[in-house]
Amino acid sequence: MANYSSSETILSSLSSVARLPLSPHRQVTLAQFVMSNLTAAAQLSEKMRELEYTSMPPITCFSHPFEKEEQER
Amino acid sequence: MSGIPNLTLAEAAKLVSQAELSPVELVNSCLERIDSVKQMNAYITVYEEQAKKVAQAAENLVMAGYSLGPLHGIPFALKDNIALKGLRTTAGSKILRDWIPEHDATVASRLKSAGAVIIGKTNLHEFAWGGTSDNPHYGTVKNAWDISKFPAGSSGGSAVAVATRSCFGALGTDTGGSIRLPAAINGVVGIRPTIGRVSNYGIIPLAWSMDTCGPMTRTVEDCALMLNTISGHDALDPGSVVRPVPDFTANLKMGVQGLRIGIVTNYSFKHVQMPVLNAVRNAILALESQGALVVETEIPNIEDSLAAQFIIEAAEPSTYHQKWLRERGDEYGEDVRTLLEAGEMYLATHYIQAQRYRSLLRKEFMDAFRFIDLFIFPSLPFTATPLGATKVTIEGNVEEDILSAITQFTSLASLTGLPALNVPCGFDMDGVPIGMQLLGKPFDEETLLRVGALYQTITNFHEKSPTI
Repeated sequence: MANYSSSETILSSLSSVARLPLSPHRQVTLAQFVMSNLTAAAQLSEKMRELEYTSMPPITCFSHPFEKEEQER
Repeated sequence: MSGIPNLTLAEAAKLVSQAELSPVELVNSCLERIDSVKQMNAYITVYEEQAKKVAQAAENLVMAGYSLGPLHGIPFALKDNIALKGLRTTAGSKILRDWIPEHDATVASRLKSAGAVIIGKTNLHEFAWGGTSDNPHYGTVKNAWDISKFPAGSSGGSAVAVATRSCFGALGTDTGGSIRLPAAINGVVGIRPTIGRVSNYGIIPLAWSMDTCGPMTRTVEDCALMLNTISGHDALDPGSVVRPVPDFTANLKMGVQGLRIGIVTNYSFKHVQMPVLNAVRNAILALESQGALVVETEIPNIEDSLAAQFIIEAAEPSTYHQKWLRERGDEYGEDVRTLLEAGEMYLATHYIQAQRYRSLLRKEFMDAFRFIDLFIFPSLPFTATPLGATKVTIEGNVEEDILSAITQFTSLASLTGLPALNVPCGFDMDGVPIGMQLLGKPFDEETLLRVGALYQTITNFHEKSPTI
């Protein structure tokens, strides 16, 4: 993944898009943490985009995970 | 009064109902305990005068032949992210330091309706977003068994309050493990109910799609009693499920003969410290000796659970906190501020793919439940770390962040929505408790409680108490 200084650059862009002002100190604190989180998230996304998983819908607070099973019962 | 702290909730409730024990004595005993364990920072607010008045009223009712319900006159504590009408609810934060709710949370009103005396509000990790209960605003919660060790979190105060017997039961909330983790490390029982079983109305959210509320008690029977009271549909909570609530105490004495306990060969005992491994394995052997059957299986995609958990538990709180983060960012503790800022950096597709992973994981568990009745895992993979530690070593010399390492096993129920129960099952070499986690089918809390209750009849871990 990106090196430390480019991590800060990416973070700066992301926080700008999110309209979340981060001081230089906050950027240093966050940079490596965010990049490692994003790496893990990208890996999970790579897995879940595979064809074998396309039938999986997202579970959200608006879709109770057990309603369907209950209806089928 | 000296014997009061040793009573279980069930025993105290029975004595009160028979007018053989005064609610006033119970409250006074708890207040004495609260005072004697102040250094553990388990409570944010104690309602001393109000609790005494309510206890007196409860006693008057008993003497007049009335009972409000099964918890009549019994002192309880609530995690301080659960609203109480007219009484400040801080969520462990500076931001809500002076917030006075206009309504009770549904769980609070149900406890009150059953006769409970709310004795105080317990400390927690700020906004429940963390696993150590190291709170910069209201003090660091300390482990009930060793004040140099962490109590886990985020419901650390509730667990310590129960373990030190300063209340007969407490409510916690559990998003990624916040009931089960502190329950394990403080030697108490704690259940994360099936999502939708217990109302979240009036509870300050952490991650909407995974938030739950549940009881923390010394015994499984007590846990069942509390769950009876707080469960059931609530029209005020859109995530609340319409379905009957069984009597969770009904099957506690059924034993475990023939029950099939699942062990996930590719996960259950991987990446676990030895004392935890030994304690949980011994617990499984004890259940086998009572007639339970062990079934080994695999959950093929279980390894990705931590990544999914972290994405969801980062993105949802950051959404809830967006306004405060921009306007009052300096009022957050450093760790929570970092997590909230980081949670805004994910892509929408990251979040949705993580939510889709939940379906995959749930399907694999539901497939396994065709030939398994419940699973057993450690509640967390390591024993209590020193206060203030942010890293833990589980295997070899590799240091890991506590926040991610701690949810290795609790994330499974959080992501799938399945119910999970922590039961004390041992102690580490320093005398700090270890817990096992029973994970069950949707809305089958009864089986978990039944197994936990049997286990407590053949062991005495729950009878031991920390030195106060």
